[in-house]
Amino acid sequence: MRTLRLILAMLVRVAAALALAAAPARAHPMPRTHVLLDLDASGITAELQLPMNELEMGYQRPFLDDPRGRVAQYHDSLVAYIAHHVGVVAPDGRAWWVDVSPDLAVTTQDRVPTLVAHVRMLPPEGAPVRRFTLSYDVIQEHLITHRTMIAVRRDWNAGSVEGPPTVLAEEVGYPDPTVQVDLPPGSAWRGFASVVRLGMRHIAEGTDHLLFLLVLLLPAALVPVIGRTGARRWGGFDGIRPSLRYLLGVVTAFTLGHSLTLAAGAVGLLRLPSRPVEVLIALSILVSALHALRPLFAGREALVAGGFGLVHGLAFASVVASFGLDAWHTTLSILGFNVGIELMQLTVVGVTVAWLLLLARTPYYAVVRIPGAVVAGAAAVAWMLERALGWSNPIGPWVERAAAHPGWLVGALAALAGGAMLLDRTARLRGAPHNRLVSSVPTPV
Amino acid sequence: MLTSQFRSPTLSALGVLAAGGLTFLAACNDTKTAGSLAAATDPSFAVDTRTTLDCTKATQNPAKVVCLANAFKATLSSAQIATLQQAYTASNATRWSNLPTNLVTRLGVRFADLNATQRAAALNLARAALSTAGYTTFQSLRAADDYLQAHNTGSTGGGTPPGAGTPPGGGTPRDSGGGPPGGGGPGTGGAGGGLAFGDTLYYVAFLGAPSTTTPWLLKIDGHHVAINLHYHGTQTPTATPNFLGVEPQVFTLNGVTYTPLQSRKVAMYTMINSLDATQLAGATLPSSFSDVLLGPGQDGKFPVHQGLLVSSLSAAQQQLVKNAIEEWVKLQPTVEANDLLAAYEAPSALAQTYVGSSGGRDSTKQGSYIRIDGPRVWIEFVCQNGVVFQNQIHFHTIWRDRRQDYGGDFTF
Repeated sequence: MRTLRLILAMLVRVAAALALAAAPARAHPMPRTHVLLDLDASGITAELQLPMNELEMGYQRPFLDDPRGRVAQYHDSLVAYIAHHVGVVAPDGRAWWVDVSPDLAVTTQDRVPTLVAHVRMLPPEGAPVRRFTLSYDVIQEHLITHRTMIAVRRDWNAGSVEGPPTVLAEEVGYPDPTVQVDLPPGSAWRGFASVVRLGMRHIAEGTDHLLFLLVLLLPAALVPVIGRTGARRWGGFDGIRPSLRYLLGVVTAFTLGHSLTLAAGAVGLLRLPSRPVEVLIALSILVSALHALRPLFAGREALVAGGFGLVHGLAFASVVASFGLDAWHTTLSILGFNVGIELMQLTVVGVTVAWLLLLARTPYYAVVRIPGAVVAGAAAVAWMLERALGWSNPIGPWVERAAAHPGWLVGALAALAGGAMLLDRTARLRGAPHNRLVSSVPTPV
Repeated sequence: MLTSQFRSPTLSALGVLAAGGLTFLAACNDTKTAGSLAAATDPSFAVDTRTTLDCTKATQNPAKVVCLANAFKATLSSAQIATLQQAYTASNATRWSNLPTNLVTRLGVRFADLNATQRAAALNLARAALSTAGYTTFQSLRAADDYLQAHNTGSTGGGTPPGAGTPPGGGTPRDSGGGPPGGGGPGTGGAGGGLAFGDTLYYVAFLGAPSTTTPWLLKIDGHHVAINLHYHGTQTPTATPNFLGVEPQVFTLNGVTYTPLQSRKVAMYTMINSLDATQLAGATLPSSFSDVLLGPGQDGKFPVHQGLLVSSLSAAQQQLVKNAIEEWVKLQPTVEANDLLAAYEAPSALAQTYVGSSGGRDSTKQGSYIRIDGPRVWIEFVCQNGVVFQNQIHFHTIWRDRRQDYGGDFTF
């Protein structure tokens, strides 16, 4: 039950995080500068988001009439201006090395054209990265009423790899445009643990990844047989040992597959646009759903799981790549994310497979297997249509909504298994023929 | 509800008669004083006897305000009183804002949550705490927020548009302030999307128990209005910090045209436009301003004096400075205002009072800024691009007192 609660807790957190992310940025009547700090082992990269209506007044030159053109026009002096108004000082009074990247960008935030600049800041030798005084008066030096929000966006050691930034100071400005920053020490382990959690979360929320695996496991305990018509179909219970071997093979192969592309994708060796990847993931569910109905590749499931694992790994890679970390932390992320994925996968497999095995020993397994495969297949087709053609339909969301109640789903499965065993035992006590659904003359393939 | 408050022309005529203290308003260029009509048409001008009869004997503040404060309190439920009555602490005192109430939560009870009797009692209290002109300004700024609500395409909550005939005195909350932003589909958000406006989103709070002997604060707060009235026995009541803003500058609601801060704007620009080139150079401040410098959260952060000494000006110019100061101070009832003005306008005070300017003298330009900065008085007036009406300038103003903000009871 603890694992169930974990899944539930995960889902609640995912929902909360999604709600946060989905909350539209409120049009604040007074545009502020946002300074977002990304901490790494050696220093800090700050992203400055400067609203141009305030920049005009602070820099005393027009921007709004032609945001991009003006930025290009003033480029060199703008870079120098920003560098002149960002200062970082170590606790012992030594200045940090501060360098403004020449790559200036223009975006729109809260409907205001915004200049985005990046500043690399490195502490002097021996000075801490997590404790310093930031003096910041870009814009505010002249536009005295201008205010800046300063927040930490990424901080591996504090365990914040993604998600909303942690605000250090809501409104820096008059009369004292400096901030004392003293971040709790944290540890590399916290960052790793948070990536593990992210991996778990990603699987918990990624209905499609789980569905692929679960549907592929539906026929795990069954013997493929050739029926009287010569067509292949699923027979009776295959025994515990072959079932577990099947399971282990499929899960391991899937893991190997997605680990490979996750690593390759996260370090940038392999990049594929997300749309075809998402379509292929939906296809993978359809294929395993068809296989759960009729054996298509019996005995070669591990191969298929590994192959499609490669595709699923590409989707995971895009998540890790989005963290925007340096090489070392990317490596740690790949490892941690994968561990998280694995943990959640094993949890889900753990809480479902036992019931599937029990059900498979009764003659009523088809009652779960066939509807399960049909629903998964329908969802797969719906997702493919949606992802490939943009044809939105309610089936995908229905399945996702159902998946948001893992406790009920597993409970229902357990109840079905219990009921089926009870029925089976009663039937056997009455001397009814055993396993009526199995072909009378099974021909092992 | 304002929808019914600003309607009857007959009542407005009565109200103009009732508003006896309008002489200084009449002295301004802007003689239209449409705002006074607003107060006049307010049905609570037809005095609610239940809450005022008991207080007729008290003619001076704080006695009068204390009596009406308790009368208002008596109309509330115990739960509402718990919301209204707050501790007299620095952190509560400094909690006010010029932003829409869904961005910064306010202390006290909200008009939206008051029934007709309660709301009338609250307005009676406000009328006693402010001068007639001050009360008019308050009501006009509430009307401005109703106007904003009606024109804010992406507003929160989906309130009743003005004039849609809300039941008189209906205590239905117009806006919970926490509802999901309107629309949801792409492109529905208007200029002020996600901002909550409306004449019922104003709050009254008591910090400390209303008393004629011990200090307490009457807080009237909402979007573009923050008035901190301080009472302490026989001390002159103060109303600072006092933030007033308006968007749009001029609007017509239910057939009445309002220009809530027009006379303040005229007084400030008449003063600054009287300066010759040399004087203007002396008044020009080195910084730019996109808002008032000492808005919410900036308590006690007065800068060193900058600008042009008032005592260096001609007598006529000095009078224009005084006129401008009076525009803000006369928010308070005459006796109280006169006490403060005596301090603010004493020759010794004017000898240490400065006029400052930045961003040019054109009130249609973003960043045009005027300041009066004395040993006590501090007034800022700034032109800002509109939030809902983005093609228009809107005004932010603040009046503070270097020594007597919140009665001088807190140090910052």
